[in-house]
Amino acid sequence: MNALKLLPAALLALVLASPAAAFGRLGGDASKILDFGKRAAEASEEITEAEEIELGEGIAAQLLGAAPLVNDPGLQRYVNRVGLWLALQSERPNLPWRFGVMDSDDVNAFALPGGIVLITRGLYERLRDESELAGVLGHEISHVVAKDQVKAIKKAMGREWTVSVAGELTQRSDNELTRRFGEKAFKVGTEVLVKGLDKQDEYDADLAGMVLAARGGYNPFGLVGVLQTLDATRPEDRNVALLFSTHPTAASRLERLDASVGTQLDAYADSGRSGKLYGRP
Amino acid sequence: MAKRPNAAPARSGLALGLVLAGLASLAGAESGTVLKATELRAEPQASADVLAKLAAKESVEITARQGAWAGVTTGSGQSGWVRILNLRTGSGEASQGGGQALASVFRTGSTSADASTGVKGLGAEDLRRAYPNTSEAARLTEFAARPDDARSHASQMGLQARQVSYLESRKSSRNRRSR
Repeated sequence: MNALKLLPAALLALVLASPAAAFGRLGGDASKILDFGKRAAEASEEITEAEEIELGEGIAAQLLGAAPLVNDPGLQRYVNRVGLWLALQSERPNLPWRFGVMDSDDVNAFALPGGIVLITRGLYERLRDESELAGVLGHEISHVVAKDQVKAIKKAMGREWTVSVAGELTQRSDNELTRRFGEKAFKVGTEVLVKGLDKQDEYDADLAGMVLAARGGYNPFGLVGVLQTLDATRPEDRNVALLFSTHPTAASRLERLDASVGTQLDAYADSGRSGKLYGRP
Repeated sequence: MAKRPNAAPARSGLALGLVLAGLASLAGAESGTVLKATELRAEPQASADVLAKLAAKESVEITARQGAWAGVTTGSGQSGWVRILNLRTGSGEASQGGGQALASVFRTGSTSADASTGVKGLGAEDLRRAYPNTSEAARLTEFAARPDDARSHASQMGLQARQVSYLESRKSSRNRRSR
């Protein structure tokens, strides 16, 4: 009985010691071992909030490896204040919310599991005022609240997700192991950002993002201005290539918002001052 | 207190006109297209006088944005307001204005000493090929705001939290006209 329990751990130790596992590319044997470990642990497939946060941090490292943060602490702190104010109005106010502006001409924004939201300098420079920033951040915060990325990663990993989670549950104290298992999830997480979510997730995030902006006291129609900026951008502009390939068209997003919002947010539209963005003359 | 989207000052010669035109283009004067038939109103309010009927696909110039409304000038030169969600700005063809980025106002370069500087692409392959930068990810925590920072910013901006319920997602409006 004891020997049976120890066997997976011993095999895992062997796998970890082998060079083949050094970069987290586990072979067929390793997968079998992990599967065994999973069944032994009878793990739940749900990840904890702590694991969700870790997952997001790993994907953030991958994204920031492609483009780092803009070298302007004032800008980074500013975006964090606006973002956290909105997140505090959401259903997950207590996540360790972190926001960042990536130094890239690309026009995009990313929501990562556990409350990390990154927007690009290219998008920031196209915003007209703070209500538009609130619209973008509200959209991304809504993805985090709905756990859209976590669900997409889980779906993309299929059986491996269970294995990965089980691996973490059985060896929680082993940081090395967690990191390696996470790495697979981080790659899949990046792939989810490259492939995009379901269109309905995006429409829902637009709608919820407008509501979050309104809750924060902003003109909720700021997001509409952003979508119109995107709509006016030529599709052959390579800076919008990834955003356009991962989202429904801006025109369809505007139409869906029009159908869902109607006049329901008019009462909140005029209250917010049109705030000047950090770094604008 | 009538709000004119394009309240032009008295003309004082061609030079001023050219300057104004230049400013308008700097501000990103946008051309828009009406998504579905609607009314052009005198004020940014649903109860305001109707100045004209606009047909779907009619072209307008967007001159102002105010809450749920956009100030527009029609092809025939009439100015007024339409609901901002009833406008698209692209036609699927090359468009002018609207999506232009302002000149970069930030220095480029990483906050990490070891990262190379220069323009970073963020296409699919750039993301797939990237080598994880954990030290840069750690800096996210460094810049994170505390709830009090966020509240103090909101207070400075005159923002007040409000109770707003989530809305039901709809695929099309009930009174949509087929075109």
